[in-house]
Amino acid sequence: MKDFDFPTATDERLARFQSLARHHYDACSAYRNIVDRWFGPSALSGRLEELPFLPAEIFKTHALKSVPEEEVFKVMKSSGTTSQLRSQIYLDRDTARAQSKALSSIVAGVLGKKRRPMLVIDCPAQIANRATFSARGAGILGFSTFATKKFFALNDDMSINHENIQAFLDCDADQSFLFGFTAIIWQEFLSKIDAHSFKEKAGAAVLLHGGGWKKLAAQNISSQTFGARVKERLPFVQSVHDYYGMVEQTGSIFLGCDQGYLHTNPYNHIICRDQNTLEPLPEGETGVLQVMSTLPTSYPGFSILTEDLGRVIGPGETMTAGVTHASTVFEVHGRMAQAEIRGCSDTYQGR
Amino acid sequence: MSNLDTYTSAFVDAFRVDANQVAALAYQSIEQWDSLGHMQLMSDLEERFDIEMDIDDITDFSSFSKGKEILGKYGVTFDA
Repeated sequence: MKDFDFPTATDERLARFQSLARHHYDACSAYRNIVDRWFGPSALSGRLEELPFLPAEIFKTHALKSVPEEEVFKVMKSSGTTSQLRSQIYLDRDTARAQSKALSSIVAGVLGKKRRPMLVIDCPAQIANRATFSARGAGILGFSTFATKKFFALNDDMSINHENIQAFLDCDADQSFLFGFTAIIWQEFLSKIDAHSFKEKAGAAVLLHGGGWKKLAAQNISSQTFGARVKERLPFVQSVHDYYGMVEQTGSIFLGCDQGYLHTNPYNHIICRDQNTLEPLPEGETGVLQVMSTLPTSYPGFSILTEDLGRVIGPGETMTAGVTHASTVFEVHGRMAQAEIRGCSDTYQGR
Repeated sequence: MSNLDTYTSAFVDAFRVDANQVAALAYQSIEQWDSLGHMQLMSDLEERFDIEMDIDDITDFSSFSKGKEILGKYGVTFDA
């Protein structure tokens, strides 16, 4: 498919999603079978909530690709926390490039286009060995693109590295950022410091975090509580932004605002569905989240039913690549109990 | 050392390949030039040439030859 820049109007985005559905239907026979069986071909030209979606699980059990084998240049794998099987995502150069570009224009909404010093709230071991690379390591690397100098706030034994943090604070830059995984920041960093540990920082700093609320949701810690604790312990942090993303839709992450709510942007869309009927739910009601991305052309992952529960709050406004645009505001509550959705891929297994 | 020598040795050091192999390299064409290798190469080049690249240029830096073009924007020139 041809290169794509982001669509700003709603109908342009619908057209993009419809053309992606058609493209994968034509290019991937496994996807075509699923669509024919579960949705019927007429869904391909439906409204956003009528377009076909696949359960995230299916990328663990099936090799789904919409390009010839020789165009695949990278296979991304996730290690599922709840399953032994790993998702396999087939990337060609076009999709990989689109992912990088989307990520930088989304992140530019809070960091700007200029690279800045970065404090990684994790240990260097996360990116030391590519053979044992985890989702944490991949996240750190992905966001390193936005960094000039990189400092690690933790030692490999997860103790605080005061020298590195001081070096970051002393950095002569008017803009800087902190990055880490939500649960690591909470458990390994915030709990070990107090409001007097690190006070002064010249220039503005923002904190970006992501990587699942499962652990913190179990302790009843909301995104808002998290943000407030960050600002209390690190008084120089001006804004805190959560992100929500997954390996099946790398690049088109949903970025949170400083108030702790997630926003859609021109690269993605969110739909909340009833857990049992999978019918779309009205604003405010909790259900299972479906995520849509304008990016994937080499694999049919543009519309995925996650295993995460959440709710759509309502219309909002945010900024991507310097452009203010309308968004849909939502929140993620955590993982749903397994079973329910896995049924879909089990059904497909027989074919 | 000429700019081309400096540029070549950055690849040799980052990916541990022979100097006569670097001209054909592209992102993901060898195991060492993955996302981790990429960021190491980028920061090494910035240090050696004392430049600071834009985010888009780091993303577009897809091969040995494309990289020379990108560095040109920062005043690093390679005589033919």
